[in-house]
Amino acid sequence: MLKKLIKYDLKSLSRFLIIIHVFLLLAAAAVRVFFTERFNLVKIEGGAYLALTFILFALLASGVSFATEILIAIRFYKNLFSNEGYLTHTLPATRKQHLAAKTIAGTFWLFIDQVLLLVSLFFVIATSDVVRLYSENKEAFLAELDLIGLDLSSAKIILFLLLFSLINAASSVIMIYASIVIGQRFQSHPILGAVISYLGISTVFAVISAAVLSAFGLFSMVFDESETAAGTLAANHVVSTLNISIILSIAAAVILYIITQGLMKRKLDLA
Amino acid sequence: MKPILECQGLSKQYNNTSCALDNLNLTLERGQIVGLLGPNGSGKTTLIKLINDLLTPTCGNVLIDGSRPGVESKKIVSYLPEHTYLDDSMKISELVTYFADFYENFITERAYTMLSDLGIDKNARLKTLSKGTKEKVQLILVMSRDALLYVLDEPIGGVDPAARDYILQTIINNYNENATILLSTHLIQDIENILDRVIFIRQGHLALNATVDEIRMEQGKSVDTLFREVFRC
Repeated sequence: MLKKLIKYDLKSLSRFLIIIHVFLLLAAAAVRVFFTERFNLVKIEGGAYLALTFILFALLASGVSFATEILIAIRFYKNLFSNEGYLTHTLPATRKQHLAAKTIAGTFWLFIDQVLLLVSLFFVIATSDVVRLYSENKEAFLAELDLIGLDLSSAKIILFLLLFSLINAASSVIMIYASIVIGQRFQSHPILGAVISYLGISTVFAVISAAVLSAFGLFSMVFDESETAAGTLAANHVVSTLNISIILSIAAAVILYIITQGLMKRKLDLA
Repeated sequence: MKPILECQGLSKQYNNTSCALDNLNLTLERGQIVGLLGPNGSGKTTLIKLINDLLTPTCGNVLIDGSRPGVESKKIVSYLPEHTYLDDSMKISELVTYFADFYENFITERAYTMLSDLGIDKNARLKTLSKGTKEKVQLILVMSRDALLYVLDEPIGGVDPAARDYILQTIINNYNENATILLSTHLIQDIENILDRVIFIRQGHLALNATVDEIRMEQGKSVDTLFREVFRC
């Protein structure tokens, strides 16, 4: 049953998400071909056009990412709590299965979205000039970023980015679903309730994250200059921050998933 | 054999307002067509939603074939809500596949026969159809299941009188002798002839539970006439 539910959730989500992500990749290809690839890094002419192009592309990428989250939220709300819910909730499946199917389908698409954003960004930036300049000045570039001393192979970076994207996608999807389910408690204004819940959960999560990072001395980016000489302090700082962020995201996702599942199991009142 | 439907002290209260259902006790046996009748706001749809696990009872129990609403009951209950509940963007053939995928007792051939009888194009998307045709499609999908309990909320409310006859005929022709149909409607005259039993609900309470024959023989009235007397404003 779970497989069937996932199949239909993916099918429904893919209808629009494939289109907007194909558009994103086409836009990235156009930016690369018509702007970034033509830009001469040595002469640095037309820098303003390039900056404007980057800003527009960043806006487009943000829009695609936002649209992905909105479409995942709409599918969840519409399929479970609008008129369609009358069919969904009378299928011979448990509410646990519905939530699991939607979490898997939503996470899959948000993960794909984040991977495609990274791929398109890489495609736009990594022109032949940039790649050549990077390989010629790799040590100086890493030194500038205080990343010397870390074992940063391409495979490790990609693996870390994929893992980070997957966890981030899952926790984002669960946070959206939790907000919608809590929003259902506001019987006359469920959508407004969902938005308020989302803002509330995000704020609580941000405050807890800041508190935990402060407790580990990671909240500030001010370093002891004498220690910076070691070269890897900034890199270690970033890695520790990301590790703690991942742990916090997992913890938040688990807690919110349990709450969402409990509310769906005991409190369904379809208007 | 267990009754197909049992309500034991069933109550449902929305927010802190009055009870939509209040301590309802009801048992339905198999193999009959039952009219669930009552004025607006009497609690009919609330009862139907409770049977289909769409609402959580405030107290009491509802049992379908001896079990509380859940995965097992959903396998044997075929439910038609009072409004459109299908994904508008899907083609009718996709909806047929969807039902066949999820319900083991769905008979695809029966669905296509009925669609063909009504001249409905299986390749049409639901959103391109009129409201009445959408309702026919929904009813066809619901009646194409070989269920033990059909729960139909206003199945003929939105269709023209000519289509009503076909729909009622569809209902009669497509359920087996052991199945029960619980049918809610305000169009009593149209359905009176197919009913075996009627249940009157008033303000969340059971007002009457009798066979149509009992009403005709003992009270000498049609169901429609009795309804008008009982619920006179």
